Amino acid sequence: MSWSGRVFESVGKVGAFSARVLMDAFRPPFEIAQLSRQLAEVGNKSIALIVVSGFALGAVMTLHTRNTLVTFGAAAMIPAVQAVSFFVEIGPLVAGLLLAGRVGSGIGAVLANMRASEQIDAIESLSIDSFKFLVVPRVLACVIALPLLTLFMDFAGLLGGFLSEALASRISPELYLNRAFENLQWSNFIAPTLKTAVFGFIIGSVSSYFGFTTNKGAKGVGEAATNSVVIASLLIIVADVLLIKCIFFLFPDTAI
Amino acid sequence: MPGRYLAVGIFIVAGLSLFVLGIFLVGNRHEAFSQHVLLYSDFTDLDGLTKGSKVRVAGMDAGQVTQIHVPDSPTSRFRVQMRINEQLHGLVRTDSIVTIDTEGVVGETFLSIHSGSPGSPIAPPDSILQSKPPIAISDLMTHGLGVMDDADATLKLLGGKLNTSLDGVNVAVQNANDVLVGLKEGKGPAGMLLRDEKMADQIRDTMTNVQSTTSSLKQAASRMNGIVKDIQERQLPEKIDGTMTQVRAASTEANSTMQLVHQSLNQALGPDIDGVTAAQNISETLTNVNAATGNMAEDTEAIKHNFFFKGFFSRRGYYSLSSISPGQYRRNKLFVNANGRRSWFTSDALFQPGVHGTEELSAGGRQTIDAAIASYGDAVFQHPIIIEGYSDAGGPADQLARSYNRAFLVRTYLEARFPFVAKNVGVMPLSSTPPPGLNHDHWSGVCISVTEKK
Repeated sequence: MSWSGRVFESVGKVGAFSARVLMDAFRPPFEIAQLSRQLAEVGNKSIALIVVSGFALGAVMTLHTRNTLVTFGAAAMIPAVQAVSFFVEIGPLVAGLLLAGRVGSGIGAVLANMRASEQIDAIESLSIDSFKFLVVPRVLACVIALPLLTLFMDFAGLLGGFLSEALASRISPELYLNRAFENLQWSNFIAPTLKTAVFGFIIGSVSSYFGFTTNKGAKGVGEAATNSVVIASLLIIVADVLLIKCIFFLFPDTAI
Repeated sequence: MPGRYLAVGIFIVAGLSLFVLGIFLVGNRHEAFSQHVLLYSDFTDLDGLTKGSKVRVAGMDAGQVTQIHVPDSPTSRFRVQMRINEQLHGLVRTDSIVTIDTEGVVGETFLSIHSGSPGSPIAPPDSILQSKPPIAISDLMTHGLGVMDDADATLKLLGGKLNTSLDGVNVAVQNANDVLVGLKEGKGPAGMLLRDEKMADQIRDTMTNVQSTTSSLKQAASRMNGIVKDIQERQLPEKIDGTMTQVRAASTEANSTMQLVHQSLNQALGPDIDGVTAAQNISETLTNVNAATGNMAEDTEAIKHNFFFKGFFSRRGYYSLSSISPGQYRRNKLFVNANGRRSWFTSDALFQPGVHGTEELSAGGRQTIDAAIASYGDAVFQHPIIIEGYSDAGGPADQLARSYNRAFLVRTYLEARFPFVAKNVGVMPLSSTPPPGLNHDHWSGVCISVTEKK
């Protein structure tokens, strides 16, 4: 089979895998305990990474934009630029990529290891649906956790931007907050935040696919971890383009 | 296990709290959680205004554009629905004007609602506010270029005329300079007069004497001619002595006559007993005459207002609108004459809402006034004109103020448009009630009354 044939075959398999995740997510029994465990793994343990990254990005972005905006006499727009940038694009995209790196590789490696060590076979031998038990909770955890982590990143970026701006211009928190949300529309806040649920689904399903379907033993563990991160990150960026076009279609006022 | 649930719970609650915080921050910006009023306005050109654009009332953020209804024909206009905060609703009156403004040159476009006049009622919800078309920067630049071209042409024309005028002024100044130099140097009679006062006095006396002497000499010469002729004809030696006596007497008479004339002139032109010259006396006399006529004018003005003489002066047409109250005006038969020439105009026919809610003369209103003045003929410029203003909007003070404003607008236009003498055009604010006997019990607008001196 040619290279392109293998690509299309992989796309079909990932699609079928994702469709199965969607169907099983709404079919009882619901693995609440597993979901909780995965939420703790995906969400709680990623907060520090997300908040610190967001804070640093916010500070750096203000440092970069400030010089240009001050040159054009638009220093008052620094908070608005910071808020719109983070809430619309930087927050969702960077949070998705960070989670793909931290969680995607973990999911792929764990499931591949379980497959290699025949733990998945053991689970199925106990008449437990391994797919619902192992894959669905991980995907759902990513879907639920990523929008919340995105909010952490947005506000951390705003805080970093404020501290950076306050050190430069002694701006008050109230004024910074007022200016930051002055030009923010509903479509700049809700739609970009909710689109990260799609990113979470991509991270969870792609990572689980590479880990759950590997059959190369110990070597497959490494491949699954690597492929999970690379493919998930790539798909997140591509999906972002499509999702932004969808948002523009649903909220045409934001597309100038 | 319980610890893991606790951590997950904290993570979810914290995330949802941030979501709620964001909702409130964005919601406060869009006034999502406060009382609102919907208002409308129509525009021919939106100038980039979009749904969600800011709406400001008197410069303060008050809401946003919620709907834009696109017209279905070129003659229709865009209807913009705006939602403003209830707290600022009190500033929006029925005569408020809505404009489309831009924050700076490259800033975003927003709607600006200008506060209306205090006398107008608050614009009710769902009402349509008056709009003013936006001014595009390109139009401003085009207009500016036109103005610059006009200014350039005017300057060139002015420069040519100035050059011609300056040449003339230079010649005149040069001539004046020559004359002055000559005068300063004492050249010519005028220069000598200027330089030497004694010389001037001597010349004046000499000229007087010469005139008198010439006159006497004429008489003497005439008599001498007669005598000589008589001697030649009669050749009577005996008459010579008598003749010589007569000649001597005539010479003496001529001499005394000259002395008398000289003395009279000296007395007339010389200082009087107080040492004041004739010129000074004449100047003082003129000053006294001037003062006397000034006093007479004041006396006449006072008499005009005197109870006994007021009727006389009113019948003669002497009056001053500035000293007449609306009440006195209504009772004055000179001004309020049912047979007089009057033109009544409604406010809708003359005025349109101007910038910031004030009234201004509309184009149609100007044409209406022009037609009315034209119907009076040329003689109207010789007659006093009273512009009566009427308004029935708001309270008594508002009516008075608005009626004065309307009359004042028409007066300003008339004085600018036609060759009226300013003192012949008066304004009289009469609120909403015209004087009795004019077949109008109530009016809102303007009435132009042409008064004829009896």
